[in-house]
Order: sequence, then C-alpha cells, then structure tokens
Amino acid sequence: MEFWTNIGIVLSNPMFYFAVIRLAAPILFAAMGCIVAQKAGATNIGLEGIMLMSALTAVLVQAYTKSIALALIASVIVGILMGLFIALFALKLRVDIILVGIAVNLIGAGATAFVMFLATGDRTTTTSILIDFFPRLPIATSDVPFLNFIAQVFTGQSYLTYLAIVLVFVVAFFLYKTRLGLRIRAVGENPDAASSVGVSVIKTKTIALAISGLFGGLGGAFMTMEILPYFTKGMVQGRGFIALAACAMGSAAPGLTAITCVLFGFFYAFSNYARMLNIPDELISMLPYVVVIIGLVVVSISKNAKLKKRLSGGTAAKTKKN
Amino acid sequence: MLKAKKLSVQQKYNIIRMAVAIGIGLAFAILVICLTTENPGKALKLFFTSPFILENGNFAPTHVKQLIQKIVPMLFTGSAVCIMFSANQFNLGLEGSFFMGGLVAAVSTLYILHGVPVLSPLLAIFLGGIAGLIVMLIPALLQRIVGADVMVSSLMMNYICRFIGVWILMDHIKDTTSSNYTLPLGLDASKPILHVLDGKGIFSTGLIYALLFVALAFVLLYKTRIGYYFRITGQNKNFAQYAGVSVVAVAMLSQLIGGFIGGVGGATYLLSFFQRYNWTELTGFGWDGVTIAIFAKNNPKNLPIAVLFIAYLRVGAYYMALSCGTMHEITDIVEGVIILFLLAEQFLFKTYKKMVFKEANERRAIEERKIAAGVK
Repeated sequence: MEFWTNIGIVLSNPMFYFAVIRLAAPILFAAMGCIVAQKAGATNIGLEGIMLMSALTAVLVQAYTKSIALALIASVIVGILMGLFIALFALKLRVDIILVGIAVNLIGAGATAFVMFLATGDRTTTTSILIDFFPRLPIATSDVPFLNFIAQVFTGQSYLTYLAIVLVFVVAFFLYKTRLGLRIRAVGENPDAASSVGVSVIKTKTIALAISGLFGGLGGAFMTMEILPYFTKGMVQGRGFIALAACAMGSAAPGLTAITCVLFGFFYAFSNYARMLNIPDELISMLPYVVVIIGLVVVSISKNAKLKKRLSGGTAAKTKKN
Repeated sequence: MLKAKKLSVQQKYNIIRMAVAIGIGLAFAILVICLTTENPGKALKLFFTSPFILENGNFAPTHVKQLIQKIVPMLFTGSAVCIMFSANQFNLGLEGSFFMGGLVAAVSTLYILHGVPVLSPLLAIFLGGIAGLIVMLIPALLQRIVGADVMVSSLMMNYICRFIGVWILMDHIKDTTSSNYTLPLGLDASKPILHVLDGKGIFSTGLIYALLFVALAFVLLYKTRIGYYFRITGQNKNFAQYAGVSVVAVAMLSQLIGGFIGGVGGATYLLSFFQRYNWTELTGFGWDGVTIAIFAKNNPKNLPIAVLFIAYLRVGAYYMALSCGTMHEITDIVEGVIILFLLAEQFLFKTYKKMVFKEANERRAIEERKIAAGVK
C-alpha cells in the first residue's frame, strides 16, 4: 500500500515531469540525428562517440573562452566534422558503416579521455574546471493550481531543451517538406532510382550524416551544459545507443521517435526516485532497455501486419481483375 | 628446403594494406606520445617494452600475467565475433553474453556445485556458456519471429544483462560484510583443472581453454560443411539461398555459437583471474571482440597474433601511463584508426591497380619473350 502512495507522490510531483523532459532532451537531439541518417539509408551508430566528443568540447571551449555561445558552436562543429568523418570512411573509402560507427565510438572514448588529461590534467573528471550551464527560461508561476503545475513542468528549462522540442518539428518539416529532405528520403529508400534522376547518392548521404553529426553535437553539448557542469569519462552512458533504439522504435518518424524519447526520459527520471520506492534501482534502470525490446517487437509486429494487409489486398485486387 | 609460396597480387596488396594501416596507427601513437609527454624517449621505451620487461631491464612476470589476463578473454570474444561476422550477423550482444557467463559461473561455483575438483569449474563454464547462448538467443529469435532489428535489441540486451547482474550481486549473492564482493569462489578446489601450470603465477589454464576454443572456431569455420555454409551466407546471402543453404538456420546457429563462446569466455575469465565475483560494469571485451575479429579478417587462425598485438599495446600503454603522466586510452584511438584503414576498400586502391598492371605487364613480357624464342 505504501508503495502505491509513494508512486502517487512521485507522479503528482511537477518536478518529476520537469526531470522527464530535461532528461529526454539529449536523447531527443541524438535521436533526431539518427533519424536524418537513417532516412538516407545510413545507420549512424557512432552517435555515442560524437556526443562524448562534443560534450568535452563544450567544457573546454567554455573554460578557455568563457563564452557559452562559442562553446555551443564549437561542439556543434565537432559534431558536423565527425559526421563528415563517418561519411568519408563509409561512403568514400567504403567501410561498412556499422563498423565505422564502432570505430568512431572507440576513438571518441579514447580521444576524450586523452584530450581531457592533456588540457586539464584530470584523469577521470574535469572537476578542476566547472562551467556555466546554458541559460534557462525564468520560472513562471500562476494562481490557478493546474496552470501552476503546467508552468512548473514546462518553464525554467534550459533554452536547449526547448530547442530540442522545436527540433522535432524542424526535422519533420525538413524531411517531408523540403527538396533536400525529399532527396534524403529518396536516397534512403531507393538509391538507384534516386541516382537515375540525377540525385547524387554520396553527396546526399554525406549531407545527411553531417546533419546527423550536428544534432549529435547538440546532444553532447546538452550533457555538459545542462545535465552536469563538467566532463567525466564515458558520461554519455549509452545515450547514443538509446537514441538509436528510439529511432528504431519510432520507425524513424520524428513524432513517434520523440514520444519514445520522452518515454526514456520518464524511465531515467523514475530511476532517480527508485530508492524512495524501495524497488532495487538496478531494476528500474533496466526498464528503458526492456521497453525498447518490447517496443521493437510491437512495432515490428504492426509493421508486418500492415505489410500483410497490403499484400493480401494486392492479391485480392489481382484476382478480381482476373 | 621449403620453397616459398609465391604470393598473388591480391595477397601482396592485403599485406601492404595491413602494414600501412598498422603503421599509420602506430605512427599516430608515437607522434602523440612525443608531442605530449615530457620524456618521450622513456615513454616510448615503456610503451614498447613494458609488457615483458621492467624499467630496470629485468623480466617482469606481473606484466606478463597482465598480458595473459587480457589475452584470454579477447581470444574468446574474438572467436565468437569471427563466427558471427563470417555469417554476416551483426549481433552486438556479446558484451552481455560475456557478462552473464561470468555471473552464472559465479552462481554455479558458489551455490550449485561448490568445491568439487574438476567438476565445479567445468559445470560453471558450461552453464556460463548456456547463459551466454540465451542472451544471444533472445535478439536472434526476435529478429527471426517478428523481424525486430537485431543490432538494436542486442545492444539493449547488453545493458539489461549488466543491470540484472548488478541486482543479483547486490541483493542476492554479495557477501554481506563486503561492499560488492561475493564469498570466495573456492579456486583451490578447482586447481587441478584450472591452475595446472600456475606454479610461477604467470600461466593460466584459462589460456589453454581460450586457445582450444580458437582452434574449434577455426575448424568449425574452415573445415566443416556448416562453417562453409556460414561463410558463403556471409559473402552472398542470395547465392547461399539459391544453393540450398538454409539462411535462417545459419543466422540462428552462428549467433548461438557466438553467444555460447562468449559465455564460456566470461566464465573462464572469472574462474581464471578472480578470487571473488565483483563485476558491476560491462567488461568491454565484447566490443574488443569486434576489433579483434576485424584485425584477424574474421579468420580464427589469425586471432592469436591479433589478440597479442592489441593486448601488448594495452599493457604497454598502461605502464607508460603509470610512470610518464599520460593516458592509456591512447590505444583506443590507435585501434579505431587501424580498424578504419584496415577496412577501407578504396584505401591504397591506386597502388593496387598499379600492382595489377605491373604484374600483367611482366607476364606479358615473359610470354612475348617465349613467343619470340619459339619463333627463332
């Protein structure tokens, strides 16, 4: 009984939902990056490494220049460069893109540890330099309890969090309403057809991977400009992979993927409260990964059902004709 | 005297490419070490000699022991990935298989069959293998039944395994008086089978097991019909299908065997090098398996040398980092760079073309000479 009251307390706390959104944001950035690459037919498994590199870049650049804006720009540039790096090896030098991603993750883990030590002398955490968070929207209040609840959840977040939310719509618009977006989708769906009408497959995929890296860079910057004010080794903790999973679960559709990311945010936030609920926190921390697998199964089943329906519909039409 | 086999242009090219890739990686490491350490000479000397030799020039048994401790798990995960990648199965759940193998081996030696010589470790290793197999089976089955992406679900399995492992350790099998250790696994009882050569503290029976599995993986892939099916499926799925190979069976079987070897690896690693079970983080050896398989070109025959190379780099970097104020993570970068250049099909492609043309010209010249001689 106490368990359910405690859950009630957690779920009625606006700060819990605040945390859900805040923790979903970095995954959202990376997942959007994953979507753009995926739509172009390239699986970007290197987002984990890209996020690590950008996170460190944000810390170092801010420490040296004292400018939050420059730090953000620098980490985005690092993301784009890594996206192009993946494109170079995967498209130009024809290495399997999954293996390029694995190599990028290796290089990202190694390079961040190494550069951190060179720049700060720290071996695991850059505690010698603490940086400022990205500015936050002031918290709004209201006299109406319901509105106040909403305000407590949605105001006071980092501006980067709002950027992540806006990005979902931007990516959806970009992919479905712009010429480049169309090309990206065409290249992903049928590269031969795309190239036969004069769309350069390599060029389009390269652009998609650069954009993917850009979003990954934003996700990495979010880690050190909102989640923690310093860099620690391996601080991304599989968020790049989680983004990949969110993208797979959301069938690479921006809206569905965003919902999946929020679900992850929910579980991340929930694991912070696990001790209070007397559930082993390892089991709560495990939930998001279990949910991915279940989600993948559900999505795949529904996809198969749709395909079957379409196929059987097709044969039905054919038999009618005959 | 044995006549040296004449290498084909392709083989020569592959050797050159590998040498250049490793050269680039090592040159990068040397450059970075020179630029970033105060005493590059000392650092480089340690980097290249410390796996065997102490700073004072004496043999270093503890370093060699560490080398072996890295070699054993990587031989296992390397063989597992060789088998899966040969059949073109990108299942990345080996990390979880390895972790679960260790956990189940610990549970088995502590609770199922404790302290019986020979049998205890053998049962633990076998159950570890089964656990590793089950970890792989889940994503493989989901892929087979509903078509869920095997790469994503296997990645998720890794994390699930880790959290289950930590939960079981912390809430169930931990020695309550310690922070995160179980009771002693009782290695004394398993000595006859596991630490036969342990006299000097360097050798471990784990190494023999590991080499045994590498040999088995080689035999499976290159000397049996199943292995042949694996490889043709990996090279050309459609061809394999038309040739009557059950591609589905190949996919499942290769992943299950990979998972089993991964689990056996985790179990052997635990029993060989740990007094008590205390794993709270994924070991990273599963990912290493991918690196090593790439270095070995998916052929278990090349595994020992590939593993030795990487283990050597890491132990060297570790001792260099200890005494020269640098980070051993530099090896991660080196490995990543070498992987990329090893796999780059188009890398040095012009050289390859030149080599082919040169070979063709030489052959033509010889033939022309023959013809000319014949005419005379």
